[in-house]
Amino acid sequence: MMTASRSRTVIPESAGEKRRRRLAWGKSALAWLIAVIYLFPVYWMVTTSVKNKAETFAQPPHLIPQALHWDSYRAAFSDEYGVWLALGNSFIIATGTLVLTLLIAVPASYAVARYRTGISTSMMVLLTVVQLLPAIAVSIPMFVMFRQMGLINTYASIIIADVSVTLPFAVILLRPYFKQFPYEVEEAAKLDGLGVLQTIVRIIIPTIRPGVVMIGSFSFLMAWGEFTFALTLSTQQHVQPLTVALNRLIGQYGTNWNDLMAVATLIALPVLIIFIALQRYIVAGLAGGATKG
Amino acid sequence: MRRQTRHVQASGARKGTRSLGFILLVPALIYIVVFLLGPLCYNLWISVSNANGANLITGDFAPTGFQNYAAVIADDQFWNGVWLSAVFTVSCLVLQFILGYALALFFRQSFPGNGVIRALLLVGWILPPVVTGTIFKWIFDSDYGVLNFFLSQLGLIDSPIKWLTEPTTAMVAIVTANLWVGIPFNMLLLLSGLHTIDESLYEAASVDGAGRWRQFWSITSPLMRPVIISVLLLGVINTYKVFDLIYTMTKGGPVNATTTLPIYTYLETFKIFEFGHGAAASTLTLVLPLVLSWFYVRSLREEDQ
Repeated sequence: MMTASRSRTVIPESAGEKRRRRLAWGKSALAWLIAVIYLFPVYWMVTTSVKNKAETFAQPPHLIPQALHWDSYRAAFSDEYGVWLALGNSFIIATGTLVLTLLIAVPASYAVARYRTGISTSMMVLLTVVQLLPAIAVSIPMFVMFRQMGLINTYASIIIADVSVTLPFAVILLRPYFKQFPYEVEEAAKLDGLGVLQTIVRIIIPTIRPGVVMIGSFSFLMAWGEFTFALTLSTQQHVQPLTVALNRLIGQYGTNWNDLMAVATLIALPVLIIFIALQRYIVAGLAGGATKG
Repeated sequence: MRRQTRHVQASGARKGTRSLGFILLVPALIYIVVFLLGPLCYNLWISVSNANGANLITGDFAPTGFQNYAAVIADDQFWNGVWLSAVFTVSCLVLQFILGYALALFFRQSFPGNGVIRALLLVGWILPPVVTGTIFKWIFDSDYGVLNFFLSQLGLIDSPIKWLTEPTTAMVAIVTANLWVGIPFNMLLLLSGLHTIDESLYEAASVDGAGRWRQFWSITSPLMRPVIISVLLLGVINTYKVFDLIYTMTKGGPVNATTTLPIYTYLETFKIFEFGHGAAASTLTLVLPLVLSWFYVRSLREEDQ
C-alpha cells in the first residue's frame, strides 16, 4: 500500500542526458530555496531564543545573532517562570497518554482488523467521526463531568481527554498493520499450541513493531503539544503542561520575546528530535493512514 | 489485504475467537462510552438546562427547554463567529490546496535531496500549534516583528502594519500561520495520491504525443479525484476546528475580529461561565463536522469496497 514506486519525471525524448542532469540540479536548488523560506519561522524562533534583550529588539533586526546569549534560558528556568514544573507535567501527561493509548488501541486494532462484527465496524465509524470533532466541543462536557468527579486539576483528566485524540488515530493507523499480517502464520502458531493472546504478544506485536513505534511516538507528540484540553481542564499551575505555561507566560511577559522563544524552543525541541529520529515511520504511516479509514 | 479479511471471516467464525475479539474491544468500548459518548450526550442535556458556574458542581440543573439555543441564535457574536469561521476556513482551504498541490506535483519529480527537503517541510505540521502561534505572533509583531522589516526592505510598505491589532490584518495573520501548518499536510496526502498513479500511463501518453498539460488534465486530474475529495473534506474539518493556533495569536481579538466559532464557544463557556450557552453553542458548532464526517465515512466505505 505504501510501497508505491517512486515516479520519475517524464522528459521529452529529445532531451539529452546533460540537460536532464542540469534540470534536476535546478529543481534541487528551487526545492532548497522553498525549504529555507518555509523553515524561516523555526530559524527565527531558535535565534531569538539565544539573543539578549538588546539584540531581540534591535532595529533593524539582526537576522544572524551577533553573539550567543543564554539569558532567556536562564530566565525560563528561574522560579518565576515555572518552566521546570511545566516540563515535568508535560512529560507525565505525554507518557501517560502514550501508555493508555497503547493499552487500549493495540487490542482494539487487532480486533477490528480480524473480526468483522457489528461492533467493530460501528467502532471504526465512531472513531473516524470522533477524530473530526473540534476539541473545544468535546472539552466542555468533559470539563463538567470531571468537575463533578473532582478530577479537574489532575493529570488523569488531561490524559483521558488527550486519549480522545490519540485513540482514533492509533486504531485507524494500526489496523492495516494487523490486516497485513498473514493469517497463516497465526494459524501455524495456533497449531503449535500458542493461544490467541500469546500469538498476539509473542508473534504479531514484534512483527508489527514499526506500527507500534509510530503510534507510540505519535501519541507522545500529540499529548506533548496538546493545548485545548490542558487549558480547559486545569486551572492550577501544578498540573499545567508547557503549552499552557507558554500561553500564561505570553499573558504575563508578553514583550519578553526572547524568553518566550526560549520556552517555545523547549517545547519544540523534543518534537523535532523525535520527528527526525522516527521520521521514516511517521511519514510512511501517515501517507498510508491519513486518507484511509 | 482484502482477500485475507474474507479468509479470516470464514475461518475465524468459531465462537471462542469471536468472544476473544469482543474482549479485546472492551477497553476501547469502555473508553468510548464513558469518556466520549457519555460526555457528548451529557452536553446535549446541559445545552437544554440552566447550567452555569454556580450550580455546576452539584449538577443541580433544571431543564429550560430551548432557551439556550434561542439565546445563542439571537447573539450577534455567534453569527459573527459563523461568518469568521467561514472566512477563515475558505481562505485557508483554497490557498493550502493550491499551494499543497503545486508542491506535491513539484516533489513528485525526482531530483537530488527530494526526500530530505520533503521531510523538512513537514516540520511546520508536526510542531505544536501553540508553538507555531507564538512564533507567528512574534513575526507579526507591529513594532519589532521581522515581517514588517522584510516588507519595508522590499519597498512594499512605508509604515509598519499593525498586523494583530487591526481586524482585517489579524485575520490575514491567522490564515497565514494556519497555512504554514496546512500546506505540508495537503502536500503529503496529495503526493501519496500521485505516487499511486501508474507511471506507464504517462509514458504511453507521451509516446502518443500528449504534452505536460494534456497529461495533467487527462491522466492526473481524473485519477486524483477521490484523493482530492478526501483531502478537501479533511481540510474543511481540520481548519474549521482550529482553536489553539488562533487563541495563542489573538485570543479572538482585536474586538472579536478573529472570534471563530470554536473561540466563541470557549469564551462563552470558560470566560463567562454560561455553561448552558456554551453547550448549546458547541452543539451548533458540531453540526458542520458531523454532516461532513458522514460524507467522509461514506467515501472511505466506497474506497474499501
